[in-house]
Amino acid sequence: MDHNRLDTTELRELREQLDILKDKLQKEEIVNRKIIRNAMNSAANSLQRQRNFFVVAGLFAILYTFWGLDFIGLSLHFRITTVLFLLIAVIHTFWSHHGLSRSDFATEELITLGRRVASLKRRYSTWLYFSIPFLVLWLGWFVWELTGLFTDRDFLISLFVGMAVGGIVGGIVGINKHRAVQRNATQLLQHIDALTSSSTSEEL
Amino acid sequence: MAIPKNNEREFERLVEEQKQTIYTVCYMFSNDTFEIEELFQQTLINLWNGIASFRGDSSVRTWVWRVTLNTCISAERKKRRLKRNLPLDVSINPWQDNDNDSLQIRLLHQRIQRLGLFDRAIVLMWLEGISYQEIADIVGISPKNVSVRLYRIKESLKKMNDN
Repeated sequence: MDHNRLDTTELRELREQLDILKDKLQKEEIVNRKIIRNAMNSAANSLQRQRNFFVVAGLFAILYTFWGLDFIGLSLHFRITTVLFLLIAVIHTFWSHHGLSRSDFATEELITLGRRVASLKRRYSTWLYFSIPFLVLWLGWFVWELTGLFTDRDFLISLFVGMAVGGIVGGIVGINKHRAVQRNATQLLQHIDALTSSSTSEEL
Repeated sequence: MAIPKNNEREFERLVEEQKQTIYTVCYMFSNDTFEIEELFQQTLINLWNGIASFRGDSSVRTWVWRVTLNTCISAERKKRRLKRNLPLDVSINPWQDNDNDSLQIRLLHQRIQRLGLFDRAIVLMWLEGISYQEIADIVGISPKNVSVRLYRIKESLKKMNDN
């Protein structure tokens, strides 16, 4: 099978239209030095930013949970459970992003990378099956600990109203994001399936 | 860490040589000018990250196609634009210009956009004259599979024309 055998009217038209685009682009500068410098700087900083973010977020979470929650007076069991959850969340994030570093984008085949992106999205979804029940229980525990610590009814009501509003807004945003991610993953996997299941027995 | 000077020059030369290809692919995966800018600059970042590890196992053209398509297919279309994106030096606006050539380009865009993500990638490479073996290497399927997909793409395009 060579190029010419497929060179039908439809594809010829596309090729002619593509040539028009190329002709137009030939007269354009497209990139300048500033754009190229910007790409080089973004690349160097971005890797550092990602690594630093996880380190700082992890350290902050551990410090805050151990000393911050201790300052409020929450129990040691509660603090240890929270730290463990946060550590698992960070490890899960690292694991989910494995094979999707910037350098992987420069070396991997389209399908391999597409599969990894789709599985990243699925892992994020699977994570919800664990994290949502956990957070519900965690919240219940948190409320129970607070009611044991504070007796001022008005203070507790204002605290719980604030938590409820934050929880609802966060929940809506999270669900919307989750659904969008699911849609993209499904679409990507469908494309990959269609591509890889092409019958080789079909005569062209 | 200092960036080797020779890598910088090599990168600039590479971008200069391949900018039209990169722009064309980004255009075919975009719906507006901002999206092209985002994909184009993300592609440059991925190329820059990969240039040190590029050992020449494949041709530069193959590698650029792979990185550009990987970036476009894997991109999550966020509504929020990255503030650091700079405007490209392009005077044409493929979505707004109304001369006959621009209408033809828009027609090409519409047809390509109606194909699935990977079909879009395959037909673009085929239109660029890339061999089945090279397309197969970039996508990760067999050359035979490439020919089957192209046949189906051709049928899809025919149906589009009939409609």
